[in-house]
Amino acid sequence: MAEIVLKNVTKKFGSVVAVDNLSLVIKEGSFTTLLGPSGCGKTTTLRMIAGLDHPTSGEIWIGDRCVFSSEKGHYVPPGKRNLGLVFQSYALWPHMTVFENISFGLSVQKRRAEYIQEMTREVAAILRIEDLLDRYPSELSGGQQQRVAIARVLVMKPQVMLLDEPLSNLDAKLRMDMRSELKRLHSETGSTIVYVTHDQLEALTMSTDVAVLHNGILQQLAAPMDLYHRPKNLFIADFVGNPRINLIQGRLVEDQGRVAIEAGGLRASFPRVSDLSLVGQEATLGVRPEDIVLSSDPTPEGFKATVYSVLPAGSEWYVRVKVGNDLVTVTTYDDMGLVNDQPVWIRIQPNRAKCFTNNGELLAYIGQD
Amino acid sequence: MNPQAFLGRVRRNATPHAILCVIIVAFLLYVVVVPLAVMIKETFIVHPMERFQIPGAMPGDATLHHWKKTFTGSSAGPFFFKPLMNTLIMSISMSILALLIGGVLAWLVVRTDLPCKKFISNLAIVPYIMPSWTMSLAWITLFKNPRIGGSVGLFQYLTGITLPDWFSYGMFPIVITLAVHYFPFGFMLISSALEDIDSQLEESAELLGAGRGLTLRKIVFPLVMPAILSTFLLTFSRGFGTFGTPSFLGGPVRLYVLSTLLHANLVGQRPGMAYLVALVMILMGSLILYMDTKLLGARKSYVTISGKGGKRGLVSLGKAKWPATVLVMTFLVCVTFVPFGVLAIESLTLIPGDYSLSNLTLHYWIGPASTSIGLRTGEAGILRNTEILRALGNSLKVAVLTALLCGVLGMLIGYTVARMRGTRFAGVLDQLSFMPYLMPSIAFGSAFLALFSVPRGPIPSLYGTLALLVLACTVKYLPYSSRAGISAMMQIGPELEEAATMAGASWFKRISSIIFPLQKSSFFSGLLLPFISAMRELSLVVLLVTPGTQLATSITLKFTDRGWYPYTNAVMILIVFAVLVTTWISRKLMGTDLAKGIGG
Repeated sequence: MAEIVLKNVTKKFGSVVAVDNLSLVIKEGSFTTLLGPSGCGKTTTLRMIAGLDHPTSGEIWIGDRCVFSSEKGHYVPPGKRNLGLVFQSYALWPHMTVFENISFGLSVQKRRAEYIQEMTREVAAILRIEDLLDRYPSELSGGQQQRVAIARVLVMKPQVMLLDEPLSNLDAKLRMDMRSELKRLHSETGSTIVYVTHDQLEALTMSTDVAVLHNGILQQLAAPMDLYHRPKNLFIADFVGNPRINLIQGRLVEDQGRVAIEAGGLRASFPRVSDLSLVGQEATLGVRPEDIVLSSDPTPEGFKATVYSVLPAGSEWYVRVKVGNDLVTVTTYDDMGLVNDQPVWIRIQPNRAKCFTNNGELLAYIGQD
Repeated sequence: MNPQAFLGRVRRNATPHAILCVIIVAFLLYVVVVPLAVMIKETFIVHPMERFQIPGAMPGDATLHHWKKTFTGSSAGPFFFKPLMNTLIMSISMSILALLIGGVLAWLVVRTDLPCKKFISNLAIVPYIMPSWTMSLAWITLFKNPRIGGSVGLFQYLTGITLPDWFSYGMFPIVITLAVHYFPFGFMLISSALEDIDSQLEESAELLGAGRGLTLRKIVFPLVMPAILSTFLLTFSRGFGTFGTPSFLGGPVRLYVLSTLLHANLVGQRPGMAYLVALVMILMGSLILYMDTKLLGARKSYVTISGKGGKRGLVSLGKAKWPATVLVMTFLVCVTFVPFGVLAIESLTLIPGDYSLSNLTLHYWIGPASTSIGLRTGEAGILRNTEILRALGNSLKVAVLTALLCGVLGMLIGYTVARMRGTRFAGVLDQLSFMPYLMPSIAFGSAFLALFSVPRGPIPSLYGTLALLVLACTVKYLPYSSRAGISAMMQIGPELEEAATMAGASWFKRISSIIFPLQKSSFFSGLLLPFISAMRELSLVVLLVTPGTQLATSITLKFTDRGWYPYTNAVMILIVFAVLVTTWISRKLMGTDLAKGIGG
């Protein structure tokens, strides 16, 4: 239970910069997710917090202790940082039973045998694996292995739990279950959790805070819903959300003394942006599929489009429509009996369009407060 | 950078594997690279015993004499070019023959409905496990003609036909016996290449309408081609460094190859020229390895990548099934039981050349020292002959120590390379530990002779000690164990150790309770190949043994020189027996598959 602070942390592998001047505060008791595509530096960041990798420069603090400083030559080895790491592959020792796996850390600390017994059983009970203690990892299912890996960390009562894509090896259904369990575990233990994933849905559903990394640079640190609705740049808007946000190239125009964007066959205005010097610039319009309303009858404010293809997904339908030369995805929640090449009319929900400048920064979104 | 920051950085980076890396690289540089440099130097100086061959020269003077005499003038023929040609002819023909035998056998076993496959596969690697010159001794025993004096061979005894020299000695039997020793290479490598081919590749071809024959020609053959070429190069490179066979079979007709020339140069007091020959051999070895990795490297990969050998239909041999089986069995019996039996009979024959029952004896096994019985050698039978027993004991000691050292070093190298993966050092260490592989055995032996014959700095002269033999064998077989160690370590992934690091375990704790237990089985099975190799090694040690450090293999040279074949053969039987028993036991105990380690 401690705050983690990274100050100007840079990590280079040879000439490749994996993490670039990263400053980040992970709040005490938070469930902070490092999110990004592969190679964005998220796992490297986690391993630097763990002490398995060393920053090229910068400082790392855990609580009130400086565990790494390139300047002062400080370095606290992983085993003394009082944190636990759950590996993506679980890294269970195949030659040890579940009991031996969980109790290994305690035996390294040379705890009393009774204490080891007691603690191991207690943690095993929390994770509901007390019946598996005599088994070997190869005799367990993926989900059970996952629990053992977490138990092995929990038993050490760490200040901070680090999890490196722990759910990526599970099948889709089990992943859903484990998400809720992990979230539950977080609220029960109250420990700080740093969680690494490339799965934006996982990040949104579990975290209290999400830090998006790209090319080793921190893009945004925000609560999940903020991230979804107010992405700071094009990259985040595109990376977060499934199906992907619609991005349409366009140009800023004037609309009754305010700035608006014309993109393809669509148009959206941003009443709060009055800087008319922007007019004429190229920009990108971003609209999430669920923020578009589709109707098969003409509507006054609707833009005309034709159906390109229809993808039913159970509870919803993803409809690809063609507006001008652009393909736009729309989520609908009713079966409208659409057929290919049928004319439809689409309308952007009020206050939901986003506009990004040419260098990818968010210029404005409607409904800004 | 301030001093504090610098110290911190040094402390962080002085990880156990970094320290290990430095130590191992230093060791390998000393035993692999330094000998090369010393050898090069030796080719440019006058040695004490060469004083009289070079008028006016003093020992230690710089000279170009060795280079001139080896490569130019009238001496270049017999002293270099003729043996070089012989070496090429020998290695190329025997590799082709070995590949043919091994390839056909592999195809029969993997792709057809030949019966008794397991038995055939087991029997087919026996010739490789036996010392390489076992076959040549059996050949001599069988086909000896009166040319080298003494008795005649079993064949002439039984048929009365005197065999021509070209059949009994020289290139023909050398090629045959070496091919018989090395065909298991081809058999194993081509078998595994054939097994690795994704059956879908063939099935797609057949679905597209290609017949069996066309599929074989257009799909299977091109896919195993890299394995075939690579096996050829491998066989070739092992072949030209071998000493025993060309020495036993080429000696009687004065046929020299580079390895026997190297030996003759050293024995004949021409060390400068000997080292020059060794360098040429090492150069050839490097060239072959270069060809193997550069020319084949890219193509090789696609055979191994697929590796999804699903169920596939076997080619039916039809009427040819039983004739083929008989042929294969006959061949395998001829190259395993027959030579072994011939050696056994010879060792039980009191007066050589007389194979009647009344001449049977155990004299050469357990008889007392006598100058009046049989060959009148004055040597006791091998089981009560202290000199031979000591040599056998030495062989066992050297083999056990070599195996253990190779195992430990291989594991440490594997660990270090796996941990430093992606850095320059991992590559350097990997390459360095593989270098001895490309050095022909006898040339490598001569390199060690050059390095350790005199004390250098703090390192004493090891010449005349068993330690030198152990060291030479360890370094020479290190490629097997380092390859095995690297691939084993790569498989366990760093997280398993990192998880223990996170739990606060020290390096020794991590090694003893995580790494070693996980590596135990591959460690123990990795001991087998170095053990066997050391037990049957001759080429490598022939230049390094002294009367006090005779090994079982090298002592047979002494008996062969004197024509005392029964002793030679009896000792050979013991060596083969020891090797086979070890292989069998380790297979039973640990399921070790020798085939995996060979060819590395």
